[in-house]
Amino acid sequence: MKFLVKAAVIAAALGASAMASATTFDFSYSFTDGQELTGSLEGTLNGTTISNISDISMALDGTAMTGGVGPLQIVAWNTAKTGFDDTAPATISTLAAQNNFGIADVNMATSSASDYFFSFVNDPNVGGVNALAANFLVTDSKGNNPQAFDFTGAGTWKIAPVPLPAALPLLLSGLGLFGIGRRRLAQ
Amino acid sequence: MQAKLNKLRPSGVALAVASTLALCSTSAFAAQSVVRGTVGGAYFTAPVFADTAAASSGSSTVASVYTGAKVCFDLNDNGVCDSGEPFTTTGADGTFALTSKSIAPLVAEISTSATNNGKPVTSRNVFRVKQDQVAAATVSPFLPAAVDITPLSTEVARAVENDGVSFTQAVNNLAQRIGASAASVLKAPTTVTNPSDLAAVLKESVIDAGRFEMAAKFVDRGDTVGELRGNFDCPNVASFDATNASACPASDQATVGIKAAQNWAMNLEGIPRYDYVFVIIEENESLNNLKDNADIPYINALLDNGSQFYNYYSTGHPSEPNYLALGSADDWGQTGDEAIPYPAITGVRANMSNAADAHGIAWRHYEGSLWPSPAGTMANTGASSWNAKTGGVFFDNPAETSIIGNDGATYGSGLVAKKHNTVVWFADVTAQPNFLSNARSIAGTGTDLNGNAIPYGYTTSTSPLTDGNGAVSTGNWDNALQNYATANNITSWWTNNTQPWTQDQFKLDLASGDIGNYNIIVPDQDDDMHNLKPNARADYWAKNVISKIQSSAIWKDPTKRVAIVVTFDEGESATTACCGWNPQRSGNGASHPLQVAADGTVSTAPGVTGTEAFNGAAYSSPYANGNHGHGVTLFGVLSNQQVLGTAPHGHYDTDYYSHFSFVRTMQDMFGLADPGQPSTYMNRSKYTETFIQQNATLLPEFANSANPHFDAVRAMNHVYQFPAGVSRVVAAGGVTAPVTTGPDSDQVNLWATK
Repeated sequence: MKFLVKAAVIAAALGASAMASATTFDFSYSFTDGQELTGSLEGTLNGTTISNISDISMALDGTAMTGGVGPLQIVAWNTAKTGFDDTAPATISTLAAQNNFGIADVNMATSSASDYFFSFVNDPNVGGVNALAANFLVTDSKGNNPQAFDFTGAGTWKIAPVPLPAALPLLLSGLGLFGIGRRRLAQ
Repeated sequence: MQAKLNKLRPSGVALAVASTLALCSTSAFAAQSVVRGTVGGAYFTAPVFADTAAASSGSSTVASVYTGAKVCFDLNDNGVCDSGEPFTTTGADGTFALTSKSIAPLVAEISTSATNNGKPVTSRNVFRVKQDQVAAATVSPFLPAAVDITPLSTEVARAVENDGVSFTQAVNNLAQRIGASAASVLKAPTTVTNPSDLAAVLKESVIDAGRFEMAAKFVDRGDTVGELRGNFDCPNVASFDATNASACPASDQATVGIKAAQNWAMNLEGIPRYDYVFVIIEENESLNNLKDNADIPYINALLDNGSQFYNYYSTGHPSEPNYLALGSADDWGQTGDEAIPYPAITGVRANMSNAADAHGIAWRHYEGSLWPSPAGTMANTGASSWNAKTGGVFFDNPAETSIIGNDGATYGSGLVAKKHNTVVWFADVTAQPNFLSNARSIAGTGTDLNGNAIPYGYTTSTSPLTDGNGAVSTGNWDNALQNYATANNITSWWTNNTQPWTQDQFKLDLASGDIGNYNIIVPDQDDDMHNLKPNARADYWAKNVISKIQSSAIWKDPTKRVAIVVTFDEGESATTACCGWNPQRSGNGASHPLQVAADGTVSTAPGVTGTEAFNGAAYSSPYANGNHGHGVTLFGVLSNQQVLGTAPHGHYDTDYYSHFSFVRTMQDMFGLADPGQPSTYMNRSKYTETFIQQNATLLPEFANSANPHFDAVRAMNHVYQFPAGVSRVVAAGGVTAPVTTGPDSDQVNLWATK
């Protein structure tokens, strides 16, 4: 019985640990002209808000945003200051209209020399919805850099957690220990 | 209270600039840019010109957007969307969004595959936005700056590049010049909500878009600087004027890019765009009679303070051919006064009024001592607005032959001479719906040079007081006519009889700003020296009228370019001709002016024939007799840029010009014709050396000309210098005379604004 309780506690702890640590999220923004920005990131979901964001990757219309100035980083849009602001951590919302952030290969609060970026701002001070993405490191068949815009909110924003391969073994091992304990108890 | 609020409220541009500067001061924004906006402007529906009011219609303008325009970041700032520069195409609503690795000016290339207001664009155009405008509108380089690309944004860009002003100054100057807020100036007109601002922005959009459309043609045709600045020795007339073949320097042989072309489009043939011109036409005096004449001290002082043309020729004798020439660059075969009735020039004939209407330019014809017409008796139907009963004086009352002023004097309508009118002859002008509203009154004889009221019965001591019909009073009949109108509750036809008659609508228009861009001013026959010769009365009149102009807000505003021209219809006792006439010519069919069809076909314009409405008498004007001009008269210019700014003054130009040159100059000034396409100039004003050379077989009267430059028409731009050793034909029979050769004391353009 003692072992069973101990195993159950361990399993619960492992499960809780798996839930509280960074989750991988896939996100996408489908622009009304058919272009799509896709990506993934690590973060912590709390209600509809994702914080502790890291490990961002993005692609515009399937072309990965790589080779830029530095790793992709996110900064918040500060509606009070009407500008990007890196003095507080950025968050992302699962609700499209709640988002105010920008992701680029530079710190968007201090530099505009990015090679690619995705801005998603909802601020009446700048005209409401501003969802835009561009990749200056590639060119399309017309010689233009791929770029997409939505200023009406008609595009579709999606972000959802995906199962994390690293957490599953922990959870499974916890459950296994719990099963072994139950088995011993039964014997 | 609102005024106080307005004072406290900074302009949108100022706010944008301030916010941008604030951002720049706290972060290291480098170059990236996102823009969104509209390629917008105005859609102008041109008037329909016809001989009857029923078949005519006026112009209209609506705010519009351009669909299918190519928008790019102009990374190398050459005014062209080059390969490799980020670009997009405007959608059905005229909008665009675009981002660039580098902040840069914007260009909208509007090809003939684009549409304006849903209608096909008929001629390529290019609009631009300065980088300063993008920067000023930028809140974050990762969020779109709201930037509309319009004719006015292009004009701001042109001003920054050429007028030595900053972006903010250029915006504020433009706003002040057109009478709109700075915030409205840079918006697509479809988003301008203030009605007053919208009207101003639309009018300017029509004018600017027309100029910039011309600029695109300059580039597409490969026009040279020489052509654009009015150097007729460039690029191809050296063989025609062999004695002056070196007059086309290499700089004049260069072609222009779009940015330079857009500036030339505002300085066609070197004639700067003006916002308002007041052309005062007086009567029958040669330059020698006027220059330093002690009887007209005010006029001479005015001329000395401004600039003067010393070889300005009238084009006919007597008055009517000259007024026709001043209004249309042809005399239409008229060699006498009122030899044809009015409006007798039928068919759609090119003239300044219609050309102005067709380009969104407001014109007015102000006439002294107009006879108050009792309400209800003035016909408002355009072409029938003359006295159908008598065929007599323009705008008189068919039921009356004279009126009695409250001073007891009898006022006949003879003070007003229809022969002294530049517009009433053209059926297609009088049939336009705006005609009556453009024909207005002016007064000028209220006071003497010291401001003392001129009493009734006042006479001058220096001149005989006759008008050919016996003695006349030279009293203050402006007041008498006004009192008559007031006593009889007479209303004005230019307000469609909704307002009381005023003998000096000109004064009210100056005060309200509701003035024409192109204003012809004709004093009555005692004020214009016709009856009384150079005397104090004419000087009083000139001072009183010109002082009103100089007291107006538009004159005092340095952002508005305002010029006053004082000239005369003809000189005296000289048949010498110039510039569009060859004095050797004699009346024949070949003396009809040439007209050029859209396909380039050149033919001679038909003469004027018809039947007088009031008596059924036939008339004709088949160019049978022809005119030879009537000598040199006075032409002086005074501009507010000379008085308020740095425009040169006190200069003179001895090159040879005529009424035809004047009309060409006005077409340049108001953007009514294309220097690279001679056929776009009206009637004889298209007769440049090149045009005469190219159409020599149709212009036999120009054969054997002693000097083609002397016989050709040119803009009054002070570009040309006669080489030494040349002469000119001055009269029939091959009589020649020397010309003024070499440069003047300087070659300053007398219309220059800086």
